Amino acid sequence: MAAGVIIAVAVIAVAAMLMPHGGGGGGGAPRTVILRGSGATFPMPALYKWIDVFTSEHPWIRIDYSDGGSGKGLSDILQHLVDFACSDPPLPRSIWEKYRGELLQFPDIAGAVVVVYNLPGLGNKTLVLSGKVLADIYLGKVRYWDDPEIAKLNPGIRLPHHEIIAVHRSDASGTTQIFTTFLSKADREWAEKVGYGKVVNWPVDKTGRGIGAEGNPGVAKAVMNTPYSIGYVEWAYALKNHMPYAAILNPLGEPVKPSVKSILEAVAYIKPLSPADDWSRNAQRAIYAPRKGAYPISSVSFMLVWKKMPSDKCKAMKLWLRFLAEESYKYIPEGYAPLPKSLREVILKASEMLECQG
Amino acid sequence: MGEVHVAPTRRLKNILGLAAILALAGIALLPLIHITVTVIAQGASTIAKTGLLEFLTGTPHPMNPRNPGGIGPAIEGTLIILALSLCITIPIALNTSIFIAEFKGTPISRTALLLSLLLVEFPTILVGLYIYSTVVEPMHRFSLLAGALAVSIVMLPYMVVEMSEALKSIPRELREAAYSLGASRFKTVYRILLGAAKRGILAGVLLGAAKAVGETAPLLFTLYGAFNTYPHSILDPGAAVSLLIYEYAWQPTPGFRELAWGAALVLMAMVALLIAAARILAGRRVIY
Amino acid sequence: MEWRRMSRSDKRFLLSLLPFPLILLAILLSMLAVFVLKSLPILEKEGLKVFITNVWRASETNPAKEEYGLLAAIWGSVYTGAIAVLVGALLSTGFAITVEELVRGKARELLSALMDMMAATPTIIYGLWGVVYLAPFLRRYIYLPLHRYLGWLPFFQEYPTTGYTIGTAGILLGIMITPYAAMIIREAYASIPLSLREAAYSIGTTRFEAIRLQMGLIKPAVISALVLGYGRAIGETVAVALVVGNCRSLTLSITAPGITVASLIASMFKAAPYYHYMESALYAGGLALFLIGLAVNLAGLALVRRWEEKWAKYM
Repeated sequence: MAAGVIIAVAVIAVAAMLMPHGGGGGGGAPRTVILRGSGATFPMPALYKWIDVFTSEHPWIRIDYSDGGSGKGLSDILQHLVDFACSDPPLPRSIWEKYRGELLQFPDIAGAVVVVYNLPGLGNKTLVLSGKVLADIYLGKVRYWDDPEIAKLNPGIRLPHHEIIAVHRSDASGTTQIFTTFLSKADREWAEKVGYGKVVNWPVDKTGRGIGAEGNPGVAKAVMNTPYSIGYVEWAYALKNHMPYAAILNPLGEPVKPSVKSILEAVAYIKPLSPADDWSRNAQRAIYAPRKGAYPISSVSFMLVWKKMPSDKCKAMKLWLRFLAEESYKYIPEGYAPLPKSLREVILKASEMLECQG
Repeated sequence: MGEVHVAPTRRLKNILGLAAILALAGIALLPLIHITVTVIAQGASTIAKTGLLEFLTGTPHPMNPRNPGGIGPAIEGTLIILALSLCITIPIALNTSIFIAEFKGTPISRTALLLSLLLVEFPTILVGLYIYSTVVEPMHRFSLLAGALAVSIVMLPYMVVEMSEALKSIPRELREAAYSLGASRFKTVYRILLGAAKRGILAGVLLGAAKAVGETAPLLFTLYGAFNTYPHSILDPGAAVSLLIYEYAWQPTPGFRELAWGAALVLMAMVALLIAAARILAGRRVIY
Repeated sequence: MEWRRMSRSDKRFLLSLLPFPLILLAILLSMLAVFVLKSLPILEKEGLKVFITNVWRASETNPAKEEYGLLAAIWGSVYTGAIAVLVGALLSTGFAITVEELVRGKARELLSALMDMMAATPTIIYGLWGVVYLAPFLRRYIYLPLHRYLGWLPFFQEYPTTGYTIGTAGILLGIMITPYAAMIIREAYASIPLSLREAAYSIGTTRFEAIRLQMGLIKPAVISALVLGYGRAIGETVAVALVVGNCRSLTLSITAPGITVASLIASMFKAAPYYHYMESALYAGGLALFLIGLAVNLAGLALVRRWEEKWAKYM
């Protein structure tokens, strides 16, 4: 009996070990090195693409990425649970100070948060919205779609006298941080009453017209299912679900829709600092950037690595960063934008700054 | 039965009542049938796209619309976790259930059984948190070992309950016969009683295994989810089929969800095999 | 068996086996210890307020600003569990009676095999199915009509923006606890002594009346099955996390998204160590779930025990 069980366990174990192991393997090939990352959901589709290309060029390197939000990425890398982390916002200043010079951070891809809506009867027309209107909607002050504030921005569109349902994220998310940063920059009242962060207390919830939904897919679904609702999601999710999204007024007063060009225009406003610098203020420069043709809710997503790494992982990491700097921009999925050259050079710099130990 | 003579209102009530019962039974079975059919249909279409061998051994390529790749690392992770957790739990469960059956009626035996029954119903996510704080944090790494420990805590009480049932069902005569032949207590238990109860015990092992394969919550904070890479050792972060379904079910790119359905089919097949084997071995309905 | 009356070899045998059951005890106690210790920071900061308020304010830069309250999650666990029991009660009694009373032979075998398969189906598969099929179905055919015609009732007050609601979680849980509850009820039903069963039929009752009589006899078993099912429901994580909507709302409305303690932990814990107090708040939630689960399951097991003892007299 015991023998039977032992045999069974052994069979399972052997079966597990016999599974073909990708890469490395035979003869003189270098030992497989695994790099593990975790964090933001936002860059995941791009990462999967890059990993495919990169690991086929360097079969001895395998890369894994586990998404769970920017907060998870930062928490994991600070505890040395992963080799790299992705986070939509860079490190907050206080944490950057604590690990000054030990952690490197650099942008890896650009994107945009778009304002999606479900407005029956609108047809193909695109709504124009401003940061002030959006702040007032989420503050609970603008209650109906035909509010003069909205009507003023959309001459020629017949708006229904219907309550606006405002959808927002219920989980801690970088998307929320970007969106609320935009609202804080565009509207003083929002900045004073609510502020920005991965989780905020939404005033509109108290009016009963606010809805929380989990993740980008949750918000997209809630908006699609709720007539007269509005919400914010990453651009890629709006494209994937064929949802209409608004043109947003930038500080110059131009209504701009997200596009690779209008995102790049905004992102170019970010200064190429060193990977060891504090990026927390600098990264926000892309949001509501006062540049012609710049989409106002544009952002870059960040990657973080420890400066000192064990030698085998370090070599693989250098190659991986070099790939991100030099080739990743050729493989950009729909709904994202590549980094401008100035920011890609920051990645190259990070790759050079890595210190291999042992 | 007196149905011929009953008043019409009572007869009507009878018919309506029985119809309601049948309807409820039908509703109870509907989800299962729908789940089974969709898992098979959706899962098979994914696997057909990739090819069975590649699906079982390849790595995921959810961004490739023509061929989403496979879930090899997740399957390997599940198998390693299964093997590890069986190694951990079988000796403990076996000896605990021997204790419960042999010293039946003593306070310790009753407490042990009560504890197992309580742990069977214990929220499994709490086990995940517990292992995160006692294994993952101190070791500074997610690992297959941590996942296996969490799964072990979940499956242990199931096996204890099932095995002690099997041991208790051995006729007393057998035991007395063994003693009368002069066998020591130790020998009686390990040679004769275990032999007599082996089908039930093995069924318990298989049930525990089915539990181990299907659990997700204990793995959320212990494994990390290395769906792309095969681990070098049990101290490496790993993946599991159930975890893959959880992580991929929400992704926007269709490739992720295709992989999730394929993984669901694999998972269902594994569990069905284990349960069917347990049923046959135990020769009775099994508690799950 | 008493210690004093045991032979020496028996004593040695007992002592050599003793470590194994103690492992179970050690696991339970050390879990309790971990949850208490890890909850201390938030309990020191907020006191019992963490259990009776509904806020979730995280701050990555200023721990003093952080504030957490688990009320919505605790409420969600209790409420979804209650819905699950309601659904599970109907489905499991219907199923148990059908199998025990109304079908025979092959059909009976088939039905019970199907139910066993259902019991064994991993919860994550229920979750995947719930996300893709159950939630949209319930929204369209159940919640929307209920909200339209009975929206004045607090239970259907909220417009069902998505199918991911407290009700969906409760119904999915109800479906999931049905096999387990049905098994306990079937066992009880089958154990009704033949004499009582015949007596039920002999007094000229209809079939339905006889069934009701017999269900009356095993009522305590049904109740204990539902109590244990409740314990299961409040502990379930992944299936609930996928369909409950994960929104901290304190509401009676089954058409509104909600959150449970387990799904709160599942969605927040990964990022929690990044904040100062969030992790501790989640452990406090775990502690609450721990204690509620323990109490419910103890009650359920005690009911089963009492009922079994009472029944033993007849058999």
